[in-house]
Parts: sequence; C-alpha cells; structure tokens
Amino acid sequence: MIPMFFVLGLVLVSAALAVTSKNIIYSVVALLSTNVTLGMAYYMMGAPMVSLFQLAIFAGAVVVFFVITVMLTSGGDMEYDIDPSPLMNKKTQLAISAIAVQIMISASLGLNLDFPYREYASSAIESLSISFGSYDDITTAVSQFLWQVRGMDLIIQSFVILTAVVCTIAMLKMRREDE
Amino acid sequence: MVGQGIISQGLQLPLPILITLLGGMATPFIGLISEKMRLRLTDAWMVLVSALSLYGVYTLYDQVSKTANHVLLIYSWGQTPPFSGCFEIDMLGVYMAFSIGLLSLLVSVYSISYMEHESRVTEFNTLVIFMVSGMYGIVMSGDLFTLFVFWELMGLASYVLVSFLKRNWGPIEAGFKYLVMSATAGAFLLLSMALIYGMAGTLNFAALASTLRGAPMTPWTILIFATLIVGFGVKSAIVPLHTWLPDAHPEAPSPISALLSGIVIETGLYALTRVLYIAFEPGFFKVPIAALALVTMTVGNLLALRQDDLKRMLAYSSIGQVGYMLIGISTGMTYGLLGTFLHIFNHSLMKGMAFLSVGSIVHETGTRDINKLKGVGRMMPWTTLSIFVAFMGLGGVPGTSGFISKFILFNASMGAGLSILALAGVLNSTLSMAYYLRVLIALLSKRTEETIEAKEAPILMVGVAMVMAVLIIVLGFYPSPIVGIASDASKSLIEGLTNYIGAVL
Amino acid sequence: MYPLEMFIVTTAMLFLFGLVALIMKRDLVRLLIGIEILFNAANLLFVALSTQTPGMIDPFPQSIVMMALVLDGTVIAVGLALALNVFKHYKTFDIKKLRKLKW
Repeated sequence: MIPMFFVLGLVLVSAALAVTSKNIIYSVVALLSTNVTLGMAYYMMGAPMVSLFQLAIFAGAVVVFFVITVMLTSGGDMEYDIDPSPLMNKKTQLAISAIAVQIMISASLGLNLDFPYREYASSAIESLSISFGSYDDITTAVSQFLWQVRGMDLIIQSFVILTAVVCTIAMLKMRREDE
Repeated sequence: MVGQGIISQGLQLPLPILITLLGGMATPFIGLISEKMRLRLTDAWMVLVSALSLYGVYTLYDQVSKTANHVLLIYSWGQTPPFSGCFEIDMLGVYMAFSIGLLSLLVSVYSISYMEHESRVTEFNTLVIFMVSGMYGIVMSGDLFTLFVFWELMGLASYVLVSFLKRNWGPIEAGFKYLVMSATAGAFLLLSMALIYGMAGTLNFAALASTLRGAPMTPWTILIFATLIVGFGVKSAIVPLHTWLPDAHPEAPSPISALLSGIVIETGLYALTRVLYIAFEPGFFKVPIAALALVTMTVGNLLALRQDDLKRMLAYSSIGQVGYMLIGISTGMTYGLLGTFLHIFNHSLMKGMAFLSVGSIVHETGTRDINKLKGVGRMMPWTTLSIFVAFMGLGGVPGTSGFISKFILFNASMGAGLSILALAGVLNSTLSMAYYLRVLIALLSKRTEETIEAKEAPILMVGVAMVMAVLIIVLGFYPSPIVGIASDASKSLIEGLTNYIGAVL
Repeated sequence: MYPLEMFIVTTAMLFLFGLVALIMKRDLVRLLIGIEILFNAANLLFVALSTQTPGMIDPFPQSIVMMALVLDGTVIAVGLALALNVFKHYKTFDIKKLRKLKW
C-alpha cells in the first residue's frame, strides 16, 4: 500500500503544480506528469489496458495538442504569463502540494466513508459479474468484454471521432471569402 | 473468435439512428462531388436524410404499438442486456423522436436558402446530420453509457455549429464558453455514472429501476442527485447553470439557434427526466426540482425584459419556458408529465418558428437590434404574421397549442400541492406577454430614421414559417391527436415502468 | 486489494483542483487543463471501483473508462481548435478581454 500512496501523492502534487504554475509551459509539463503518473497508478491497481489507453491518448496525443497550441500562439517566449498573482511563488506551490498529500494520506487512513458498495445490486447482477470475472488473464478478459459486450458503443464512438475530425476541419478551414 | 459476432449476427440499430449516421458519413463525399459539379447537392441530401429519418420514426411507432407491452428492445449481436449497451424504445422515445424529426426536417428546408452565400456548407450539413443523430440516440437509449456516447456526439457537433460564422468575434467567444461549461458537465456526468455503478453494479436503466429506486436518502444518493442535476442541467439551461445560453443562441446562425432552442434543450430535459424517474422515487426530488423551476422561470422572464437584442430576448424566454417544463417534472404524476411533454413539443414548434422568422429579419436587414428595426414589420408582412402567431403561442393565448400545455401544467401543479408554482407560472406568463408585445409594437410602428430598408425574405424561409404557424393554430383548436400520443408517452414513464423492467430482466 | 477511501479522497481532491482552475484562472489554456484534470478524476473513480470485489477484477468499468478516454480526448481537441480561433481574433488568451463573458 505504501507504493500506491506514493504514486497517488505524485498525482496530486503534479495536479497542484499544473494549476498554480505561472509559466504556461511548466503547466503543460505538469499536466503531462499528472497523466503519466495516473497511468502508472492504473497499472498498479490491476488495469493494464486502461493504463495503455491513458498513456497513449491523454499523455500522448492531448499533451502534444496542448504544446502545439501554446507554442504556435504565444508561449514561444517562455516568460509569458497572464495571471500574475503576488501570492503565488514557489514556496506557496510547495505548501499547497504538501497540504494536499497530507490530507490525502490522513483521510484515507482515518476516514470511514462507508460507501455502499454494490448494496443495491440484485442477485442476478452479482452472479453475472462473478461469471465475467473468472478468467486467467486480465488483458484478454477486458478486450473480449469490450468487443463482445460493449461493441455497439465502440462503433458509435468511431462516429464521434469522425464528427470531431469534421469539427476541426470546419473550425480551421481558411477560404478567401472568409477574410 | 472475438470478431465473429459482428459478421455472423449483424449490427442492429434503430432505423432513424442508422439512417442519420450513414447519411452523415456520406455527406463529405457528396460535398466533394457537388464542388466539382458546382451544384448544391449537400442541402438536398440533408433534406432527404431528415425526411427518411422521420419515416423511420413512423415505422418505429408502428413496431412499438404492435409489441406486447409497448416496449421495444434492440441490442446487437446477441449481447446480454444488463451489461451491454441497448436501445429500449417505449412510447416516450417515439414521441421525442417524432418531435426531433419534425423540427429537423423543417430547419433543413429553411437552411437551404439561409446558408446560400456561406462557405463550408458541406461541414455545416454534416454536423447538423450528426447532431440530429446524437439526439435520436439519446431518446432511444436504454443504458447510461450509451446515452453518454450519444450525448458527446450531439455536444461536439453543437459546439462548432454555434461558432460557425467564425469571421466575427461573437460566435467564437460564445462557442468557447459553451464548450467549457458543457465539457465540465460531461465530467460531472461521468462522476455520477461512477457513483451509480459503485452502488448498483450496473448502468442499465431497467436494472437500475428495479434495484436502486427505493433507496433511502443518504449522503451518497444526494451526491448522485446533485451531480446528475449539474451534468444534465447545463445542457437543459437550468438556472444557475444557464449562463452560456444568452451568448450562444444569438451568435449562432439562425437555423442552429432554432435547433438548439427547439430540441437540444428539450433532449437534455428528457435525459434528466428519464434518469431521475428511473433512479429515484418521485418524493425524493419533488421539492428541489420545484425550487429550481421557480427560480428558472423567474430569472428567465425577468432578464428578458431588459434586452434590446431580438435573439437574446428569445434566448432568455427559452430559459423561462424550461422553468415551466420543470414544473411538470416536479409533480411526479402522469398528468404533470403530460403537460411537460406536450409543452416540449409545442415549445419546439413555437420557439423554432420564432427563431426562424427572426432569422429571416436578420438575413434581410443584417441587424438584431430592436431599435433599428422599428417599422420593418410593414415591409415584411408574412414574417410578421408568423412572429405574431409564435408569440401568441409562447405567451399562452387561448386558441394556440401553447395555452393547452400551460393549462395542464398549472393544473397539475395545483393537484400535487405545489400551488405556489401555479401562481408564479401565471404571473410569469403575463410578464412574458409584456416583452413579446413590445417587440410586435416595435415591428409594426411607423418607421424612424434609423430603420433599415428590407424586402420580404426568400420564399423557402417564409414558407417554412407559414407551415409551422398553421400547425400551431390547428393544434390549438384540435389538439386530440397530439395529446393522445403525449398521454401514452407520459403513462409509459410512470405506469409502464414494470413493462420497461420486464422487457430486459 | 486497496481500500476504497484512498481513491475517493484522491478523486475529491483532483475534482477540487480542476474546479479551482476553472473558476479562478484567466488563461484559456488553463481552463482546458482544468477540464482535463476533472475528466481524470472521474476515470480514476471508475477504475478504483473495478478493484473492490475480493478475488477478481471487474472488466466492466475498465471498458467504460477506455471509451470515456477517447471521448474526452476529442472534446479537448475541439476545444483547442476553438482556442486557436480565439487567439486569431483577440491576439491574446486572456478571458478578461473577451467582452461579453460575464462569469
């Protein structure tokens, strides 16, 4: 459990740095660190396929989009800063991250949140879940589950990706009559 | 083998969704051909797809009426329903799909002549078809995650459609604000889905209705309720989550304003109703939703009084109308829900027609400021006539269909013991007539020096508005067909719940 | 395997960070960073729920998260395209310069 605390603490520290940094490039790099450590946490929790998707999409594609947008527009000069606030220096950032990690560790050890886990699941759902859960290897189980049970959502999701591509083309297309 | 299921047993989707998805996929290719041939085929293709999907809704209605319990379950390649994505269509789904199909067909005919001189028409048509497809998917889905996927489809298309005329700064700003608020709501929705899954072990509507429904009021169920309201409430424009709407609706092109105000808001409200009635008992959310209804009505109507921008006033009026619909949801009775769904259909016709007619005025004169439009009504008689009918309907004047739905709503709220809502509703209706009449008087008064010259709008735009006006007046005097279908729809939400559950489990 | 409170507390704090970034920051790109942190928090709760049943790992929430990741990525990509257009009109990413935005 100690490594899990460490990794979750790193996630919180990176998120705190991403929100409070003055320089926009540091903020994007902190976002990258958040996503990568979250991917590692997913692997340690026992979800290797989800960790793969998180690292490939969120820590790969989306952060590259962020860097392209920021560098093309104004972040090329690294001293650019829109939110100057007098309180925020390195000491306050460190203090905020330390407080966040402290709250997480003490709350998760001491608090009894009493989440009603599967209290309202009928017995049919429980038995079906147990039958899905017996397998040898989590990756084959998840990929079989994804295509055999949730396959229709995957096909609709491909249409969402097509819509996003048409959206981006519509937003960034330049014709002479638009000027 | 993993992939054999698709090939051997086939993918089954409800017919309107299939038509609009495939039509939307084919539109860029047709756009490519039409650019080579210098014709405008994509507009005709969009009208064709809308008409075919409306026919698909009719076949769905036939199928649902013939099934034993009036519930149709569609799932793909032999997947087990409590865990897989499925479409569960009852009369309520057919009713909402009919409303979506009708307005989308009328708006696609209107936008043939509105977007005549714009660029990127192919992308416009593709995105409108995908947005309509997303809305069909929401009203027909039987599983929370399927609803989320179609919700994102509808949302993505609408973000860019709002900021379509990107050469001005207004649409871009409004589109960005809309995107930020709507994406935050999507994250809240995912959180609520995680909490529901943690408590119930499934995300299927029928399975949730059988187990989670009688849960007592603990902090966790209150958290689920709060995140659901935030998640669905941003798209439904519930106060205080409405702040994107007065910027997004005026800045969007007029056919998109009509679609947004007419059916996108109502689809958000349908999703909220469906999930609330499935996951909670009506006594759980009676008081919070009644409070939200009161606040939404009052804020929407009060803020509309001070507007000088024509479309912005209509946008605030939409917020007020959503407040009326929330009254019906809070009652928890079939009669109240009948008023809500009838008002959804009427509002889509009336507000859609108001936005389309105002769009004709904007198309001809180029301005939305009411001080510059004094006396324009005398130069555009047909448009002013349709605006007159729309405003009479929105205010609830007897003889139009708006009166009947408002009457049922206020009657139901008194029956449920929430008489303050009826009182507030009547006061707000009177208040709304004030700003509607102000616009009409300004349009019909004598022209001043600031007035811009205009002639009557093109025949397609006026024709669509006249068709909708005729529909509103006819339904005002002879409402029984639509009231019949709406009462079937509202019955299926409350009394048909056992049939709904029985179709799956 | 791991107690659920740990993940619920982390989710709540990530949610708090995301909301603080949305409410208090003036830079458009930082708003999008805040939205991404919110999405990460919701996905973390889902994956944490898959590890709770003793003896097995539940594949259902993991499938949901995989699809939700793709959908969230597309939303952020379209948001960045809109932010580029904002920069083209206003030459800055500052929200206070957008004249009608009354937060």
